[in-house]
This record gives sequence, C-alpha cells and structure tokens, in this order.
Amino acid sequence: MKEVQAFLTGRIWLKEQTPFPLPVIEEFIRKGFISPHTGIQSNQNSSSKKTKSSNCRRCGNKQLTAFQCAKCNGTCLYCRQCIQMGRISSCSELITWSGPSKVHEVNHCFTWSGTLTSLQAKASNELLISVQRNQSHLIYAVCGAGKTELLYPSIFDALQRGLRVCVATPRTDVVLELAPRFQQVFPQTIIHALYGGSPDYSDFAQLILATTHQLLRFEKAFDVVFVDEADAFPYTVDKSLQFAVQKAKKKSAAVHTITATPSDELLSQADNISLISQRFHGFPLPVPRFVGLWNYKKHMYKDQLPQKLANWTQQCLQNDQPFLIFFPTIDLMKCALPLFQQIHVDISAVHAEDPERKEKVLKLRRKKVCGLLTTTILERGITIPNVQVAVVGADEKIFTSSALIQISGRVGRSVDFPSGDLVFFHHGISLEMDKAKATIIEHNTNREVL
Amino acid sequence: MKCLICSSSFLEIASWRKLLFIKSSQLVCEKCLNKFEKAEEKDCRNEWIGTHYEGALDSVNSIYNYNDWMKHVYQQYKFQLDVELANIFTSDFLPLLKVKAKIVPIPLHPDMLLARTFSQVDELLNAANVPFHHVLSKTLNHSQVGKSKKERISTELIFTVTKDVQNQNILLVDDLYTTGTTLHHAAYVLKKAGANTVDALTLIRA
Ligand SMILES: [Zn+2]
Ligand SMILES: [Zn+2]
Ligand SMILES: [Zn+2]
Repeated sequence: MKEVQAFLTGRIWLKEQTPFPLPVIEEFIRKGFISPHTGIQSNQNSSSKKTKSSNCRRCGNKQLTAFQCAKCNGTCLYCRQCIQMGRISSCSELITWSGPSKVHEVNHCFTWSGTLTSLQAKASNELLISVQRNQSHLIYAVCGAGKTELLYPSIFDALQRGLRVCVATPRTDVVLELAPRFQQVFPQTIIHALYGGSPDYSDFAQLILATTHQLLRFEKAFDVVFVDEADAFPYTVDKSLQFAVQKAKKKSAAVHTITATPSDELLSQADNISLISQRFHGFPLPVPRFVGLWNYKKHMYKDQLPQKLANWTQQCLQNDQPFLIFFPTIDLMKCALPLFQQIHVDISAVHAEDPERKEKVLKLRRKKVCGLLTTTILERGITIPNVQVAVVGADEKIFTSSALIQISGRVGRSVDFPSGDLVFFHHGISLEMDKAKATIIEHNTNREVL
Repeated sequence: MKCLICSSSFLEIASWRKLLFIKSSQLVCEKCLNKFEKAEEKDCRNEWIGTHYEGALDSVNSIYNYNDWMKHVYQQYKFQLDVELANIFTSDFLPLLKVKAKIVPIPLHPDMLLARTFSQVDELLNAANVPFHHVLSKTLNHSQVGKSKKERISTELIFTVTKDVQNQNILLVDDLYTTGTTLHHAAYVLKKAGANTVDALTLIRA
C-alpha cells in the first residue's frame, strides 16, 4: 500500500497511466482508498437549466472537442488543452488518493553557508512570518537582488513542520536552475523537479519544484506554494496555469509570489509585501539610454544595418564585452543576423524554439561567442558577467515595461562588473519605455534613501 | 483563427483555396502548413515482385512524406488521440468524392478500436465527408513491431473479406505506407474474393 499511497498522495492521475498494474488500482478503489473521478465534469447550470457546461477535471478547460467514440459508442468530449499529459475524455477516469493520509517527514537538514544582505534578511524574515501565519506574501525584489536564497528559511521551517512545499514557476529554465541549488541546501529532503520531459517519479517528495504547467497533475497537495517569476509569460495570460496553482494547493494554503516586475493585480492580491530595491552587491540598477533609430525595420529588410546599431556593436567588440541584442520578432532578427555577421562571423541568434538555446547562452557566458541576437525569451533568468544590452525597436508592443525592466536587469549583475551599457533603440518613445525607465530610477532613489 | 497544431493565432488569408472550398476554413497557420512535404510519385510495389502478393495491388499513391514534422503531427493524432487533427487533411481527401471505385478503409482490430476510441483512417474520410464501406475485418491483433519482413509476410490471414466484392473496383485507404504488407495482404484477399481492381491511397509514405 505504501508505494501506491506515496505515489498518489496529492496527485491526480489517469487510471491507466500509473506505475502500478490496473488490478492493484481496482482493488484500492474497492477498498475506498482510491477515488475515481470522471475526466470530464458536467456542471448543470442552475440559472438556466438547459445549458449544460462541461470542463476538464485536470485543467479546467471548458472548450472541449466532441467526437464519435468507439468506447462510449456515442458522442464523447475530450480536452485538447492538456492532451500532452495523456488525453482526458468523457470516458476516461482520473484517480486520487482517499485512503489513510501519509505521515510527512519532519527531520530535514539545512546546509547553507551563504549570508543575506540586511535587506534580504529583512524580507526573508517577513516572508517567514507570513508563511507561518499562512498569509499570502509578495517578494518584490529588483533583478539581481538575490531572491532564491531568501526563500530557504521559510521552506526549511515548513518542511520541519511536516508540510508539503511547492516552488512553481512558469519557466522550465528556472526549474532546471533551482533544482541542484535546492538539493544542495536540503541534502536529506526528497525533491522532485518537474517540467515537460522530466523523468517520471513514482515516489513521494515533500518539496517539489515544478513548472506551473506540471501542477495540473496535482490536486489539494500543497500546504505552502511559492510562485517564482509570477508575472512571466505564459502564466499571466494562460488561465489554465493559474487554475493549476489553485487546484494543486490545499484549499486554505496561501500562495506566495516572487518577482521583479509585479502586475497591479499581484500587488493588490498579496496580504503582505516586502520590497527589495537594491541589488545584492549594493550598486544601483543600470538606467537605459533612449536612442532614436528611425525606420530601422525598413533598413534591415533592405539589408542595411542602421549605422548607430553597427557602431554600438563595434564598440562592444572593441572593448571585448559580450553583448545581447533583443529583437521584437524572430522574423526581423533572422533578417538582421547576416548583417551582424558581416561585422563579426561569430555573432549568432537564439529564439524560443531553438534547440541549441542553452548551449548558445553558455557559449556567450564563456566568451566563446562575442554576442547574441535574441527575442524576449532571454529576458529573464540569465546572468552573463559584463554583458552589454541593446533593445531594437523598444517601442514595439511586445516590449512591455515589465519586459524592458527584466531585460535591463541582465546588465551589471555580477559584483565585478556592476554596470554596463543599456540602450533602447526606438522609432518613437513609447509609454512603456518611459514607465520602465521611471521604475528603475525610482528603485535607485529608494536605495539611496536606505 | 487559432492554429490547430501550434495554437498560435493567425490571420486567415483570403486565398483561392478559400474561394474554391468555401466550407473548409483554414485550420492551420501558414507556418505549420509549409512544414508538410508532399510525396512525389513513386511505385513501391517492386519489392513485392516474386512473392505471392505480386500483382494483387494495381497501384499505390501517397499524399505526404513521413518527415519529422509529419511524424510529430501524426503521433499527436494517432497516439495522443487528438481526433480533431483529422480535419487538417480534409482538402487532401476531397478528390475522393469524385472517385467511382468503392472506398474501403483499412480497419482496426475491434480490441484496438476500443482502446484507441476511434479509427484513424475512418476519421480522415469522415472529416472530408467521403462515404466509405467496411468490407474487411481484421482477425489478428498482434503488432508488427519487432518482426522481420519475412515474418510479417508469413503472418497468416490478417484480413478476411466480410461483404460481397465480386467484380467491384476497390480503392483501399490507409494512413501509413511502410513496408506495404497491410495493403498487399488486403488487396490479395480482395482479389481472391473476386474484386476486379484494387488500388490504394495512403496519407503518408514512410
Ligand atoms: Zn484538460
Ligand atoms: Zn468516449
Ligand atoms: Zn501553426
């Protein structure tokens, strides 16, 4: 029983897809230890009895697809939204554990030798108090403030109280980056790192690092949830991901969020907020320069690299500084790449679907390539010492103030190179550009007050 | 419109295609559409010369090549059970509406049909509203995976003919042409049962 209990506690799973033989599952269902649920729930709408809406039990999607099902021998509905995790249709069953509850481990080891700055320590303590009181807390920390380490005390405290903890993020690369760090800090704790294509775990983990998407596989599982980069794409636009977080936590559990660019919604939702307006190394945030680059698109599509942009690139090369140039679209970036390669053959480009994305960033960090052209995909999570940053078409819609603040946050992250050039090339200054610059300046002012 | 494959939003372009088939609106974005690769004409029946299946199949045509993109899309359709994707290929099967021969899809074994919940070949035809008849039934359900070609050929009786096909012209439809065993065997039993001609069309050729 222990194995089935360990696997299913907090999980919601397709009956046919567990690591256990079907007769074993059936036996537990007979005993009442496993509850079966229909994959597609139909809700009788009370106000108008004629309309019957249905939704997927796993992801909440209401836009279901009908087909003639040979198994149901009639019309059957299925969900396309979460189909990658195994199709859920009207005739499929999801199961959850309803047997004796699992007793959680309370003996955990916390080995971290680093120190927090006084600002980090203050926020970390405030967070700990919120977690203990089960009040939602927002950590609003500028890019480079060092936000991961200030979670450690709260996580350790929760684990020792036998609680199940989840750190979720919309981004796979954040999960991959955090997993080894957390395992080092909590060496005796079983930790699962879950993302699309991660290994299948059949045991129980008290601490889970997961993409928000993977939380669809959980139900009423967590006592404490942290959402890192809570404003990152696609979490803010994809309702099913927010649904996933709500469904994965226990009903009463508070959700804590961490970001450098909170939306108004995040700011208003949190019971408590800690602001860290200074980077861990104490230097101010680099402030962007606005430089007009008129008709840059026209020029690039005509195979001409605008002179100012070419000069900027040359300057980086002369100073032997690695650089990132952000583009609004893959299309424009691909068109510009050969023009940049005329300046230096090593310049390459990365975008979201690029299978070599990680390698290319690593090459830039190791100075194997001099610079990268990129889309907003690299706006977060990367640290390259002494990197110089330019945004081409900073006035384009895709560059929201949050995106621009995150991009700006790539510059001057390391203590050895706490500043660097940051240019927004534009065809007219947008409100979002102004907002980003004003926010950055405001953080720097707050910092001086401290 | 939201692309059925990559779910990105796209603008439908008013193309001749749309003017000709007013009913079939564009379901897939241009980017996804361009990754499909039409199969060139090629007679792959040669490998069967000298076997007792020689001459059973009068012709085989395939619409698409089995490139990486098609593998990805087809896996989503057949194994992730995303039935909706059958609609992507509607325009490819529309010409069958003009075919005079009796259209016969390769059937699934009943157990497999229950497990998969739909027949991937029938649904391709249904999507284009092409009428078809089941005159074959699959009698063996063991998978062909892991068997040599010879073993597969010697697998006795994969299909039996369940309806009268005397002097009829048949067009077999299947999803994937790999070695051709399935189609050759189906054609063989149909000819034995008195069919006049047996041609075949597959969505993909591996
Ligand atoms: Zn779903
Ligand atoms: Zn069904
Ligand atoms: Zn598409």
